[in-house]
Amino acid sequence: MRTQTTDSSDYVFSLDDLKPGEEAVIAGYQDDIADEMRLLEMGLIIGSIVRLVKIAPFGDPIQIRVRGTDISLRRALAKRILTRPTQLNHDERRN
Amino acid sequence: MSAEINTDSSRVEIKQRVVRVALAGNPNSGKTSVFNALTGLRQKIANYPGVTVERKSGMLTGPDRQPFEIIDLPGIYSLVPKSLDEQIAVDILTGTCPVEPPPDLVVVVADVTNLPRNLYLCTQIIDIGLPVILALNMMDVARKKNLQVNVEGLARRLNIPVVPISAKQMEGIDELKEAIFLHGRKGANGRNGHSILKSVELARVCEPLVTWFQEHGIDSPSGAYAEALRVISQPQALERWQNRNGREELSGLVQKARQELDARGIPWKQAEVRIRYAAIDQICAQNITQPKSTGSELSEKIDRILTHKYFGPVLMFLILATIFQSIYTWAEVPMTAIENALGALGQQVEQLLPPGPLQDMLVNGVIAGVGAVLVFLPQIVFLFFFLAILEDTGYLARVAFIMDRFMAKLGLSGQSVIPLLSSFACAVPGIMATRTIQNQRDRLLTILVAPFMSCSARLPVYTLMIGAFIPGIWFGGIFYLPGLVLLSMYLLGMVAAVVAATILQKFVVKGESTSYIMELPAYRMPVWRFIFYRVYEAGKAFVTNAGKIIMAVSIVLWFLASYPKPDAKHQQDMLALEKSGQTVDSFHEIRQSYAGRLGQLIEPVIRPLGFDWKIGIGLITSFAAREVIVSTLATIYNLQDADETSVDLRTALQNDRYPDTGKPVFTPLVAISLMIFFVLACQCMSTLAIVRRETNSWRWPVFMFVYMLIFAYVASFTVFQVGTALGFGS
Repeated sequence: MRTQTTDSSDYVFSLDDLKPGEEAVIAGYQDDIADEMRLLEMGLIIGSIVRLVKIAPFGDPIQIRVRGTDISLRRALAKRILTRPTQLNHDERRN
Repeated sequence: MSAEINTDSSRVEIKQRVVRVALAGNPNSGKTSVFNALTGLRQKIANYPGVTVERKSGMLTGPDRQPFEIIDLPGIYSLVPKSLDEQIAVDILTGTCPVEPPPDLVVVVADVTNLPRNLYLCTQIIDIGLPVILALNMMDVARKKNLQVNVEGLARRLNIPVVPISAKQMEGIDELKEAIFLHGRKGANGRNGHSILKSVELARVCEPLVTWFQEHGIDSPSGAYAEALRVISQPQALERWQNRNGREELSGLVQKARQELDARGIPWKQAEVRIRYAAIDQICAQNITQPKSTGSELSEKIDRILTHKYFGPVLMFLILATIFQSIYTWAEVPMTAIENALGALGQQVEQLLPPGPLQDMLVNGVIAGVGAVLVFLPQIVFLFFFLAILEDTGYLARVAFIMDRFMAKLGLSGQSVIPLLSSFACAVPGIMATRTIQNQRDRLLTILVAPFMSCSARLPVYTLMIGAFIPGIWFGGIFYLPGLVLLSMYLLGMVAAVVAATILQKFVVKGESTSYIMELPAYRMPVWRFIFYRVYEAGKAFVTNAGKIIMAVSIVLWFLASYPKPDAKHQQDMLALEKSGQTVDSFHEIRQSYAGRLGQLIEPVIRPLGFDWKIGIGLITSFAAREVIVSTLATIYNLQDADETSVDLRTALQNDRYPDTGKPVFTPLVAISLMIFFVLACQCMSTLAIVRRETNSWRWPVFMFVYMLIFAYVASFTVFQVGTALGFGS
């Protein structure tokens, strides 16, 4: 298991780039996010699968599902959460 | 075993020690439902001394009449608090709370459908070394979802009792009670639980810290290890130790540990979370069989409509409009019944007691005043009923989800939505709810605009004015004019909050707004029993809290309005005038009373808003609580006609005329101007008192009172003057 905050070997994009219904794997956090700890405790740790459930009617915030819980957060924050595509590292997150 | 307990208990019976059991759990784990299921209506709500966080507790009687106190701790996600009420919960659990010792037993309530995150907190509490019972809540939902849990396996792995329950269905509650009785009595001997933290790699890095914590009050090795991980990972956790002895030594050790982790390429912030979740994921994989997620759960299907891009906002508006409209129409029936009953009571008292100051005070002071407020209890009950349903079904969180965009634009966090929505019931709990807002700037801004939300104390004012002066016209058979006016008052408050927030953050409360993170709980059917508890609690709080103030104010008012008594000669003159058929000033008594003099003093200032001196009296007295203006008016209008105890206040207002011009005192325009004044002015000493407490300074309540008064005056002035100019004045 790699222990870097971001795994540069994969194609990394932000959580905000997901489309409703799409899934990705949390790859890390950008710089200093004030709410990083709360996100981590809620289960958004590196390797967690996250799904963008939907975008709120007026375009912000977004609803994501991680570990069976639906959480809403703003796009500005989602932009700073880095994700990787799920297919590429399927084996890695299985263990 | 039973014989042993029996002999033991006969001795204990002399002085039964109260076993203290804390309920801990994530928000939305159904913790409060479990609390209600365990204690029923035997609940006590107080505040933790020195702070305004609510302390909810209830008693449970165990075998041999052993008393158990169940304490419902504020919801937490972890042992690192992010807000003041979380802080209280964490302090109690970790034994650092100055006013409440750690409990004898902790019942961790976990949402079984969301076990990993709930276990995160549970395993942290186990590591403290407190005896723990895990209550797996929402087993009924798990069954529907075909989720299989190996309860035995979980209990074995964590080495704690695990009780599967469903608080909603009252399932497993007896078993939970038995487990509480059994383990609660063990005291410190009941320490159970295996720490799940095992990482050879990190143990070495933590070693110096573990030793330090063991030297500084943490006995158990697992507890010290858990705390070591926490201070490494979380700056806030380290801050908690900052004011103790040897903090520099601690900081140094933490710094070193972080550097070592960095050198190994492990982000120190994630040290605890990663180890804990890795262990939890393993435990869950071994003990939970989750069916393949179909991806279209019921909640998601419901959300397809309720948070739909177009239907969502429209439905939200319709739902809220329907609620406000039904509060107004349905509550009419019990209100009339209460009005009639109080009228009858007044007549009874008059027949039983001889005429005199006592009878006068009882009928015109006590019964008339309190009665005029009690009559609005049905509306408060209806409002809380709907609010409880919205919250318990999970829809309130969707309202926040839909509205966040606007809150963000206002520079408020989405977390402000809940305190602001709570302020519709009462600004006092609403302002207290701002404690859940982590960003201090957002919190202050929310506090400052929260009183613009139309609270239940304003409802009596709206109802009285609308009922008396807004004609009951239907539009297209769907919309009812009084209902629409009521809705506009609520909307006006919201608009005012928007305007105020925009101005305040430009000039007064500066700084950056943070992002918000909010859970969207799955939709659930509300449990009527729990809704009932909430409504009962709210109704009781309204009657007991507001009732006391209103009772006192009513009597003071009755005195202010009745004294000094006009002298005998003046009385005779007036009587003679009346007999000769001339028009008399029917308020001559109150006019020369203390209250009347006060009202007349401010009349020149409020006349441009359309208010006469009698309303002026009401504006002054309503500072005690907004609804007091209703009892004030009731008192004023009752006094002029001592024979009529059951004066219909509405009729009295409609018939009141200015003695000089003969024009009605109240017109629809005056009613609207008065309602607008009540929407905008901070006419509430309780609100100001709680703001003083929350901001810890008189600066903010004084500021709040002044700026809201300016808002109110300008708005009422504009509406009344423009309305009069346009010919709506009569």
